[in-house]
Amino acid sequence: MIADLETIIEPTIRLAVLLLFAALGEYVAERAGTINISLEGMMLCGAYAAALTASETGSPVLGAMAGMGAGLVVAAMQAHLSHQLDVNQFVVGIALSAFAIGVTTFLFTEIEMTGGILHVVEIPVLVDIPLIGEALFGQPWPTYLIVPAAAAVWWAVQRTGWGLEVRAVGENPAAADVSGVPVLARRRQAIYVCGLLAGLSGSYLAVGLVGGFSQNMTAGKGFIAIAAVLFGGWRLWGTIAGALLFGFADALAVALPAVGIENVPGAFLDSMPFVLAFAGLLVFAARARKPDALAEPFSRGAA
Amino acid sequence: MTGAGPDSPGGALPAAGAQPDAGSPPPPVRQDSGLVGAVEPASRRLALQTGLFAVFFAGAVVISGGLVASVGGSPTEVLDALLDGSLRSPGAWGRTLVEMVPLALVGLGVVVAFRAGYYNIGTEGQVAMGALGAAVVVLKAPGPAWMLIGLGLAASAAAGGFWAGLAAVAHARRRVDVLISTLLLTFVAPNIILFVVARDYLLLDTTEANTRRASQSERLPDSTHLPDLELFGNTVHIGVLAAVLIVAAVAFLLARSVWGLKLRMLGRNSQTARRAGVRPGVVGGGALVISGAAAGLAGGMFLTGAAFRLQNLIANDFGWHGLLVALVARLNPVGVLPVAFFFASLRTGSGFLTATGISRTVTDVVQALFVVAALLPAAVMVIRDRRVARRLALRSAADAEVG
Repeated sequence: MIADLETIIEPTIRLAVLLLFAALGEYVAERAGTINISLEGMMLCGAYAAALTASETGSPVLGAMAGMGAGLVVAAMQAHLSHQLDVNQFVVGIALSAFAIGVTTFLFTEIEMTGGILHVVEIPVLVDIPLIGEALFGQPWPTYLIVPAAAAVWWAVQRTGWGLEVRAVGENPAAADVSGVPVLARRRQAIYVCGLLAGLSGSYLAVGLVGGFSQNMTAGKGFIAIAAVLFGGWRLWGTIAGALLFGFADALAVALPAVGIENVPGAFLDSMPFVLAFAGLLVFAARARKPDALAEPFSRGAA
Repeated sequence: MTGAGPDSPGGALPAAGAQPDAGSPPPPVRQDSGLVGAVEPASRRLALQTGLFAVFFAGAVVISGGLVASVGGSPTEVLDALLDGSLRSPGAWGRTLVEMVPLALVGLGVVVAFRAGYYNIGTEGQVAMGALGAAVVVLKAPGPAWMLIGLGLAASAAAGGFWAGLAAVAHARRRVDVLISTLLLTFVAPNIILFVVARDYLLLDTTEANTRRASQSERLPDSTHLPDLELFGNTVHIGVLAAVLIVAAVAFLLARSVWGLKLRMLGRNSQTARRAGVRPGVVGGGALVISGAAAGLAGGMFLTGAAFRLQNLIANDFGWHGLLVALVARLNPVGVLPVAFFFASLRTGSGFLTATGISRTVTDVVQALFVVAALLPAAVMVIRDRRVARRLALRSAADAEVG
């Protein structure tokens, strides 16, 4: 029984962490007023760059850095097109997602790479705790980065002047503008942060969990991460809860057959995270207070 | 980064976030092309924009060629193969026209929904559900074949509309963002089909031919396929005509009818639209359902006109590519047909790429480049308008000093 639970908890943590890296980024972007649907594209580019770099250099650390760099490149395109050149942010997001799938798929079929490397770091003593030891303290090392990442995002958004301005431009950009806050710059910076974290999430998937790249390997995880932010009511704790819940749903597909429950149709398990996310939004979306200026473009003198 | 002058929003696109939302403050009113647009003759702006489109599309072609060359291929060979596969070889342009049908229908639906400010980006799932609806009716319902075709296509539109309708209801009743809900539903649809085509009491092909019990439905009987037309040695099914007529009808309605006006009002400014008596749930939710129905019909026509057999990946990227068609067409229904034809030729042409040694996925990159190229002219106009506005402001300030 305990072994069975461990079989479920361990992939839950991995997949939740994967979602949470991206969801943290999306949380920052959305607090600044952008529904950043290029998140999936950022993750995919991050995954590709990480896998390629890790394969070429043999270093997953360099891979992760390249992945974050790739996320940042996509973020720069999203940020400048939508918050400088006034192109509709959803249209930019769709275009960049298509671009990410096209480019990574093409390059993947044209440039050969060997598998990346997967480092599991077990924290001594703690890893022997029954039930949760393996899940929390025996993971590929980038998993542990989620703790400082979440803490840093919380601190930056809630405790710094920059974070206050980011939240202000997401709530009332006109008022922020009058107070001298560079609205569009803050919105772009929030998207950069999102790109870094989404790139890290993609790298985690490619070199941390899978050990390589495959075509369209994010398979909608970016969209689930966006759903986690909405599900969490644009709060950090809610976002974390959402990531855990959707990670759990994702993990069931892997874990149920492994613990001997085989008569649940795979089609059902594979759609679980998406159904759950939709149901979660039905229940919670109406109650949450979203940033007032979410998805609204800003230009001075237009309000 | 806000310039001295007012900015012009990107073409016909509704302001982002125009999605009507009860209880939130009115979205900022955007000024169309503002000061500069008022000073400059419209014909000159149009010429400028057309020129920019030409430049950026040419850029997309050049970059595509560069990409092919960078992985050791020959751009001219690739272009040759694409043209052979899509237009020049026997029967090719007929196949391309057939491929165009789902793309055009999906794109048309996206135009309708986006114009109302309802960002339906879950078309891929709606295409799949449409194919499922058609397959269920054609394979399971009794009746003469001609009736089954009609009923099957009606069922495909209903199924696609239903799938988008879930998102419309979730938005109207529970404020769930349409963008996200349509996307999430997209990933559920293929799993439903997978479930259905793997059960012998549902749609699994249990005939002798399918000895390995692959997850797919029986082939639709020949009598229920869309009737073919012969056009100068090319075979196309009747859906091509239907799609052209539907696009023309919707283009007319969007431009000339009260419904079209309401859609645009809602997309431009939901608050004003509401004050003028437009009901967002009905008009906007309706637009979402219509776009789902169009995508569903696309799936139904693909099934009864080209695929003939249901399996879980039946949507075959028609949903995603149709979405891109709408964007490249700048949400202009008239532009949907030529752009859909262009994307269709990339799809049919890519089958001929094997001989060139370049992966057929290169066409995905080309498509994406064109999508980006289609966005940039509006962005460049924004930059230019800011410059011109600043110059005008300086001049009027100078005039004021002299005066």
